[in-house]
Amino acid sequence: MFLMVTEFINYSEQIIRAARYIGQGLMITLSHANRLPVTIQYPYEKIISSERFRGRIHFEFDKCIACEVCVRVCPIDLPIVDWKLETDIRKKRLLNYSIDFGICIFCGNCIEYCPTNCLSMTEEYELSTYDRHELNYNLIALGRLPVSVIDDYTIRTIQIK
Amino acid sequence: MNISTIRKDFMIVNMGPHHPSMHGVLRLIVTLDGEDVIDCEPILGYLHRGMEKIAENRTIIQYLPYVTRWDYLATMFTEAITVNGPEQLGNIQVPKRASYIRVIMLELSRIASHLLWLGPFMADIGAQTPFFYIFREREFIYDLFEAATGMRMMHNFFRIGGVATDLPYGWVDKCSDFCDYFLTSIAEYQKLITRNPIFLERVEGVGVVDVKEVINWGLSGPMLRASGIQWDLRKVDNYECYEEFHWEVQWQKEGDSLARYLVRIGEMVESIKIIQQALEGLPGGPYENLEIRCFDREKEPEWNEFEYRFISKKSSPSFELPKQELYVRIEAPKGELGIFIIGDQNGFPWRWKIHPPGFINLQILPQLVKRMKLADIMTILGSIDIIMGEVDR
Repeated sequence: MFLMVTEFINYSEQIIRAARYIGQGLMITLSHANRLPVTIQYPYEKIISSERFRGRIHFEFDKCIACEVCVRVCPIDLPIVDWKLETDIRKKRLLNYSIDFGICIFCGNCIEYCPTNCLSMTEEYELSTYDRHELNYNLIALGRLPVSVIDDYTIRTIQIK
Repeated sequence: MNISTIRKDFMIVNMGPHHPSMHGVLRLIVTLDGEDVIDCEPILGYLHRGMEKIAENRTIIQYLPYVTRWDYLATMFTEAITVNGPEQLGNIQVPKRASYIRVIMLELSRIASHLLWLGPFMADIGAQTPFFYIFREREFIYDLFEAATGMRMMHNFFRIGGVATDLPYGWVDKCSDFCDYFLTSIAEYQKLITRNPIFLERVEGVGVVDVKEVINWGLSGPMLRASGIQWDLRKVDNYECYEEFHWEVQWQKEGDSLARYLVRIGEMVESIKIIQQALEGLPGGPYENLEIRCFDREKEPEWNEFEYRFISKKSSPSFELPKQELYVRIEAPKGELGIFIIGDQNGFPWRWKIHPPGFINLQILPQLVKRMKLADIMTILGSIDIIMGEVDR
C-alpha cells in the first residue's frame, strides 16, 4: 500500500517536471510569434550580394594576354583560349575566349591568378536558360556587364546587416 | 548477410538510399524480428566520385575547389587539411594573421556543421522545431562566409601559406556581433531541447559505446569524447594557433546519444569562446606567406631583413610537392580528418589518401543498432553524424 503511494507520488512528480520542461520549450516556440522573419521573398525581394560575391565571370578582351594561367589553375581546364602567335609583333593574338557556365563552378581561381586582371566576377547569379548551350559564353557575352539589383526598380533590395 | 539461418518470420527491410534520415545516400539492409533489429548491413558508395584519384592529377590549387565537396557541411576543414598537408610537406610557415583568420573560419565552420547536425538529428527523432531554428543561425554564419570568401558553401578560401584574401572591412565587428547573438540562441536551444522529457526518452542510454570499444573501433571526434576520453586534436597536436586561446575540451562519460548531443552543444559554446578570443587578438601583418623558401639554408632569415626575400603575391599555382610522404590531421567537427600524401617532386601528389571521420565512425553502426528497436536506428545514426560526401568521397 505504502509502496503504491510513493510510486504514485514519484510518477506525478515526474509528470509535473515533464510538463514544466515541455512548457519551457513551448515558451521558446511561442516567443517566435513576435519575432521578425529572417527570410526574404525572393523574386520580389533580393539581397544585395557582398562585394566578393562570386557570380558570372566578366572578361575584358583587350587586357587578355593569352597566357592561359586561367586554364592552368582551373580545376577542369575550362576556359577556352584561342590564340595565334603573330611572328611580326612576336606576341600572341587572342582570337576567341569562352567559358561554359554550365560547367563552371565559380571557384574563382582564374580570377585570382589572372596576371592582367582581365577576369573578374560579377554579382549576376541568375543564369538559368532553357538550353544549356546558351550558357557557353563567348568573349562578347563574357564582356557584358550585368544589370545591378539596385537599378532594377521592380525589385526591393535588401542589405544584409 | 551475417546470419546463416534466415528464419521465415524475419523481415528484411531496405532503408535508403533515398530516405530522409539516411543523411544523404546511405543504404541499410535491416533484418527485423518484429520491431527488433537483428542485423544491419550498411551499403556505401552511392556518392563515390573518386576524390582520391582526382587529386592525383590536379595541382593543389586546382584541387582546392573539389575538397569542399567531401564534407559539404564543414567545408573550411576540408580546405584546411588540403593546404596543411602540402604546407607541412614543404615546410611553409603561415603568418600569424593568416593563422588567426583560419582559426576563426574553422570554428565558424564547426558551429555551422554542428548546427546542421543538431537540426536533422532532432528531426530524426521527431522534433521538427529546432530544424527550422538552426537554419536561421547557420544563415548568419554563411553570410559571414559570403562576405569574406564570396561563396556560402564552396569557399575556396585557404591557400598554401595563408588565405586567399584578407577579411573585408567591418567583418570582425559583424562576426563578434554574431558571437554575442549565438550565445543567446544556444541557450535557447538548450532550454528547448536538453531537458525535454520526450527527447531524453529517445536518446538516454541509446547507442552506448564504452571506452574500450570506442578505441578499438578507432572512432574520433564527439563520438570519442562522449565516451569519456579527452582527446581533441586541437589540444593534442596544437596546429594553427589553438594553444593561444583558453578553452576546454568538451567530454562526457556516458557514451550514449545524449552524451554526444551534450558534447556537440558544448563544443559550439567553446568554438564561440575561441572565435571571440581570436577576434580580439587578431594581429596585423600579411595574410599570406610572402617569403621565398630556402630548403638548403640552415638559418631562416629574419622578417624584412636584408637576406629576406619575397616572392610574388600568390603562391605558385604549380606548387611542387617534395618527394616525401606525410600524414596530417585536424580536428574536424565530425572527428579526425586526415590525409596521407605522397609527394613526387611534382605539382601533382602521387597519392592522396583521405581519412574521413564519418567513414570511420560509421563502422560501429551495425554493432550499435543490433538488438535495438527499429526507431532507434535513426537516433543512433543521427548521433554518429555522418555526411555521405566524405564517407563515399
